[in-house]
Amino acid sequence: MKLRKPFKTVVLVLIWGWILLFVLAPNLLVVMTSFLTRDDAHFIRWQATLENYLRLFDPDYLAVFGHSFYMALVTTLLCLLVGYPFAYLLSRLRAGVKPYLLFLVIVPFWTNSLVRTYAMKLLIATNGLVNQTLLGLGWIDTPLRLLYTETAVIVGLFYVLLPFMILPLYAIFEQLRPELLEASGDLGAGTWQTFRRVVLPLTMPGIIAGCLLVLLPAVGMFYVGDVLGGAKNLLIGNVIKNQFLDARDWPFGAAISLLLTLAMAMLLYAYYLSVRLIRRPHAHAELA
Amino acid sequence: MPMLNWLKHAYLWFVYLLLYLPIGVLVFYSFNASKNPYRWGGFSWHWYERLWQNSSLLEAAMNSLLLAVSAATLSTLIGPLTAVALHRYRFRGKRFLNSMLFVVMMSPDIVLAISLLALFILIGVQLGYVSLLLAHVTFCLPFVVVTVYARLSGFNPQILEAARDLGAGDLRALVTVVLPIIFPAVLAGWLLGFTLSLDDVVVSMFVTGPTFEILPLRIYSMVRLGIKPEVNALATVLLLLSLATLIGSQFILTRKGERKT
Amino acid sequence: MTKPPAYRKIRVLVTAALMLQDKQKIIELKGVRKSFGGRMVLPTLDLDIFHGEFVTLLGPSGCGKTTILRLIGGFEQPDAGQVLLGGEDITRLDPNQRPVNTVFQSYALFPHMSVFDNVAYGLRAEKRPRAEIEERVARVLAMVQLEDLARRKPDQLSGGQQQRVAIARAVVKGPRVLLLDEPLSALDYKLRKQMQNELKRLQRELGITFVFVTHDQEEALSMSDRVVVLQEGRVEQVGTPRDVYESPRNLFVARFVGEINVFDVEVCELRDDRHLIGEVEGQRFELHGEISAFASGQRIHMLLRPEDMRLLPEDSERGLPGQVIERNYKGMTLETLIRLDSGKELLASEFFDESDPDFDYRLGERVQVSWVPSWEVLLADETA
Repeated sequence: MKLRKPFKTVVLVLIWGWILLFVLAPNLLVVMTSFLTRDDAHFIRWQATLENYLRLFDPDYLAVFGHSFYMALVTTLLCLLVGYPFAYLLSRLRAGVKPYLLFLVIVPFWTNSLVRTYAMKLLIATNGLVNQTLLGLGWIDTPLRLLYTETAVIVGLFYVLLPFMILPLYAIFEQLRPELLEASGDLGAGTWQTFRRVVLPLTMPGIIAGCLLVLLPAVGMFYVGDVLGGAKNLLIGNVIKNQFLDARDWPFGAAISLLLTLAMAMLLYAYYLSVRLIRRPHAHAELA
Repeated sequence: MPMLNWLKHAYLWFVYLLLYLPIGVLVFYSFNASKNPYRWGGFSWHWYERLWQNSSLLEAAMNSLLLAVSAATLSTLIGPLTAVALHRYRFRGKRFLNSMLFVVMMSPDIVLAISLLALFILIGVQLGYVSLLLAHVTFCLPFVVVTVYARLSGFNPQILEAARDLGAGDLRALVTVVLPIIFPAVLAGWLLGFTLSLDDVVVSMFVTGPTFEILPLRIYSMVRLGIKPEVNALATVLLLLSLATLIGSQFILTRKGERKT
Repeated sequence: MTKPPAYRKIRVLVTAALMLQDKQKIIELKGVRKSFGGRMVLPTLDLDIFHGEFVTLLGPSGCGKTTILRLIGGFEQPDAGQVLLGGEDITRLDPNQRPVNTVFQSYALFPHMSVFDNVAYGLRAEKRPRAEIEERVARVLAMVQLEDLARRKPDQLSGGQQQRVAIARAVVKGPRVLLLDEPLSALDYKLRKQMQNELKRLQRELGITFVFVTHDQEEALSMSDRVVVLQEGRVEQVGTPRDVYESPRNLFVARFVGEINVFDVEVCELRDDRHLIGEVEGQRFELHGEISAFASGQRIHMLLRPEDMRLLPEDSERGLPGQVIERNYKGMTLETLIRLDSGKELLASEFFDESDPDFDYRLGERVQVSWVPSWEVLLADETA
């Protein structure tokens, strides 16, 4: 009890300080910057304007944003389709091997995403391994043009982000008690019905968490766009990066970033609502 | 149904193949005697020798490791304390704090990157190790907090009461009871932070400076200019290092006789 | 329910003599009030616990019994009032400063420590020398018959073994009072019975006060020197198990502590201090009890335990007519459910005697229900 007061104060000061300084303040800065004008020498000039937001509605930019979201969505869907069964099967394995297999999912991360993207490039380049194999097998005559396409970006994003889908799904499957599935079967439901009525609703929080962890970074991963997509397949991240590091138009970059943040906020709100809605039937399942 | 079983195993293998194929390619080609990555020229350690001599690449790799270790460690010092505070104490703005942590966790890297860059420029932090460290801790922290908090939620509060009942003061109870029990979660949090830091490209590219070169930037420029097979060798080394570390940490955990939740 | 009056008088005198002898109060709760988040759990509690006794706090869920235990242990602070230990005010003391130890409902063993380390924890916190710790831990582990398992971890033990570790851990520190929060609720029937005996034996061996919390009245009756019956934060009755069972002070206690048959009675005539004529189910009976507060014409209750009932054949003169609607053979006893012609249902219980055909009535058979005279308890009608 005697240690408690100072401990509590120190910790709270530390964490509040960190949040205020490194989360709240920077985001407020970005919001502020988006309403200012560019300046070649000092990044920004203290002149308020809405021009940055108006420029967002330029059809060229809108096309890029839309295309980027599209690629991110396809990526998310792919990750979900591949990751969901994988997470389920992994969670049903013997308890002894599970931690090791889970670690094997994480190990690729330690070679840095850029290295992995570069490896992807090696695979799908014109004389990369994929083409060489297909040519060697005689399935094709001329090498496929895989690099610098939309598909390349999607595959690249998918490869880098798949583990982010698997981990939250795995966590939620771990919580899914097998007795619930047994009870469902006992009450006469077939496999598909059990899936639709029991498994799907209960794993929805994991699905949504996974989708958020894939979708949101996907639009921002400019290096995948650079290495695999070329000039025609830009991600929103590429545009922002260009504005900040190349074109030095910070206000415009900030405006785009804010648009992205708003989209993210809307998705997060949808997530919050869905978790609230799920919580009630989930509570019933817990009582079961 | 043996058929179904086989199918399940096949699927697991398939996904692992997907995850490791590109890296496998890198490993494969790191032993390629030929400079051309698209043609096999025989087995060779050549590129590993070149890697050893390429001091700038090695330095970048070392820096990245150093950054990852310090970011993970710092997050693991602040994170569990935060998790304990969130779990045990009531204070104003708790919801807000929670939301902020959640926002950081979910934010696209690029949004984080530019906001932190703006901050550093404004308050005059020199772009280099310090800015990188602060940035990395910022995005690692929520993950550590969540991991430890999950463990605390399953923590039987009567255990702590028992410790106090038996005569332990706050500090003794914390050190002898709480910390050992949450240790696996703390370790998991450290590993998570280390992973995220080592893997990061976007945030690092924005807040880095010329004084402290890290791996993503080095590789980025190398990849732009042309393929350098030393990168393959480096990737292989990193892979082996990560596998060794993971096996090592698992060994520590099982030695302690704890079961990972 | 109660036996002849002379017997009762002697019993009271003997109890009083014993009480004057060595019964010092070890714990006193004075005017204690406690509420949680707006909900009043203990409005105002006054309770004394005596040195060396095995006292049980008995009551339904939510009655406040665990709260009282936690107040004594120091895990909660009262909103008002005092907690005294051996005459000293310990209300503001932390748990680690009180010479009181708790056996938790979930056992709360430290999962990362061996049995030995768990039990030694409290002694190590006191910074006792190593040799002393080893000796005391070994002794207490022998007391609970766990010497061979000292190196095991909690997750390698059965529920009963874990429970004994929890007890050993609390007892090794030599507290003046041991608090037990429903420690047997997770055990199966046989083990629970066994542990009840062991706890009683342990308490006598250690000679310290045990404060036991349970909602199982059978457990309370079999183990305790005194029982405190609680409802919604109020003490309904305090007494020996026998007092509480045979002389319940109100309907709640009567109903909670065992099965009870409750009759509505109208007082016809007061005979003397302890006798009256009352009308029960349309018939007049001479009834016996504490009737000083009653008046003629008053409506009162008559309480009878199932084992006080007697079933007579249909053609008997005495008794209330009814029909057997259920029979439950319970090994030791035979329970019979009777519906009187008036519609009222009664429970009768008897030690099963194969050779005595009297009690063995078939389903549907008609009987006359009576009871052993003077075993009834008379209470005022609380709802009136």
